[in-house]
Amino acid sequence: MNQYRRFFLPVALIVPLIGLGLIWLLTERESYQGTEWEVPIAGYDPRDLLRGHYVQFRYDWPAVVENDIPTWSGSTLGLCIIGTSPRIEKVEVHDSSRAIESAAALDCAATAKVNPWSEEGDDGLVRDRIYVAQQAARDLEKKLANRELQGMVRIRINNSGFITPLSLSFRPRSDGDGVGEVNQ
Amino acid sequence: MSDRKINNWLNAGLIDSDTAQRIRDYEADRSRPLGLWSLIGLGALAIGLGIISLVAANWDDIPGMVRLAVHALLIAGISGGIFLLQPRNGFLGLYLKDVLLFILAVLGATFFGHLGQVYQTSSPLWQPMSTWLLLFSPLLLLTGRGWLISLLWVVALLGTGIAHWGWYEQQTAEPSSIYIALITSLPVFALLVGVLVRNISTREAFWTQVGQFALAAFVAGLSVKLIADGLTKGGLFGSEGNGGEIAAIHLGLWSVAAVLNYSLNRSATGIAIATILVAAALASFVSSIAQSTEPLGNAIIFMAFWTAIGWGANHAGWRNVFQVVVAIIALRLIILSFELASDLLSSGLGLILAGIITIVIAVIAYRFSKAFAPVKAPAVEQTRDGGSE
Repeated sequence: MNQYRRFFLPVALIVPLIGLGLIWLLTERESYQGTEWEVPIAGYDPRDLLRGHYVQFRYDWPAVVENDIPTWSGSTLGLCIIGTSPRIEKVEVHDSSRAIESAAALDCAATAKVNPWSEEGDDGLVRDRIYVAQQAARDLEKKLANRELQGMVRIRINNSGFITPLSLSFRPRSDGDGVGEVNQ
Repeated sequence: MSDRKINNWLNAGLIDSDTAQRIRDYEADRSRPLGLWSLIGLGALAIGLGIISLVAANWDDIPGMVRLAVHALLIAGISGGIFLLQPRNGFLGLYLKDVLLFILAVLGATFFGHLGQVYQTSSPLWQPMSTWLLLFSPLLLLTGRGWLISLLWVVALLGTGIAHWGWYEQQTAEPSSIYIALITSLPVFALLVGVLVRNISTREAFWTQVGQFALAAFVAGLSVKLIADGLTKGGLFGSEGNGGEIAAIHLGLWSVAAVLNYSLNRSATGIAIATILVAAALASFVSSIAQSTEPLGNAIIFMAFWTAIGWGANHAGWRNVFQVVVAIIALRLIILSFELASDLLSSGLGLILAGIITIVIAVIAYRFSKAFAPVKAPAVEQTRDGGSE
């Protein structure tokens, strides 16, 4: 054993380096996977839009009653998103425990699930938050309060069904087309 | 060492002038420029804080990739520094290396959070913590020397356990008794690892500390459990149903641990630790079975456990531990007197009685501690300065 003692330290030093590098690589790779979608949002609390460096908002999923949205991470329910990325046609509540009948019938392009470890916990499908730089905050606050503009959040749904908000944009509420992109 | 003390001893005839001179010479040789070092430390702290606030103020403007790359480079650089310091003994090899190890480990832990921030990912806390533990334990345990590293490791291990426990409780409606019994026995396992490896490692002091911190965490955790048992039905583990089951598993596990510990270390210290383990198992079992919210019964179980620790401390010659034990038992008695007098408390008489009891207990505890605290055990474990490997 003693003859190997001099290898202990180099190996023990290299293990965390390789491990951390590997985790970085996997995280990087995973960040490109999944599908991207545009979801309309509603203000979460007019007095509390900005909290620190984050904008809080509610997802305004097309064609689903809000009370039906699953808010428990242990439930088998998810949101079945129908459409072609990034445009959502409609959203239905989908029960993964009865996957065979429902998934085939609904033809989900992606399924979003509650991520219990996110900031929002069990409410991850109802509300979320996105980071904004300090300089953009005032402008953003004005737009969120503007009734003429519809806020759209671009999200990525990864392979495990968890949502990551990517960016915030706005478009006029009157015509449905996505014109006038304003990034955060 | 101050000259004033030496002069006092010289004047009192305790030492002669030759001895006094030799003490002065010896101390002069050994003296470290503490003032200088503390100023250097203060300067380094200021520089560090300055860098942190500069980075923090411009955090948004630095692209995530650049930040991660700098973070990774820092980790690699400190690893290199530790590698270069390894063959050196003395101040640099022993102390600076431990400090670098600590910084490296903390940088490694924050790297997970940093990745999460840049890539907007999230995962249950126990996952990055256990990954960190897997990646860094070999390094910390193979090269750590002082309390900084042993404490860090024990805290990280128990923290990971607690994080996993919390996550598990969230996931299931009916937590398994075996799981809870095992996860709450983590300090006992750490203690056993410390005792086991101490026998084969050249860094005895380090592994002794690992065992000590684990034992301290265990005793603290069990004390909290014993107190919680008295506050609510069902105690710390929430549900009333499996409290007894968990305590029964504990009884078995900790008794085996006590026997194992004794077979690994048959010294007075080994006997003391085994006693504490068995006493803990029994106290926890009785407390869980009784499920008593009666102040007297609860206090008796608590004090019985601490009396066993006191016996162990006396047997093994842990003077400071013994004094702490006396203080804690005295405190528990005082709290008990207030608990029992709670209906009297509204009247002045109750307050006066509780006050008198408090003073009496404090005086008795002080006298008892002074009279019976064991003389410090011979310094077998004082090999820290030796630094032999």
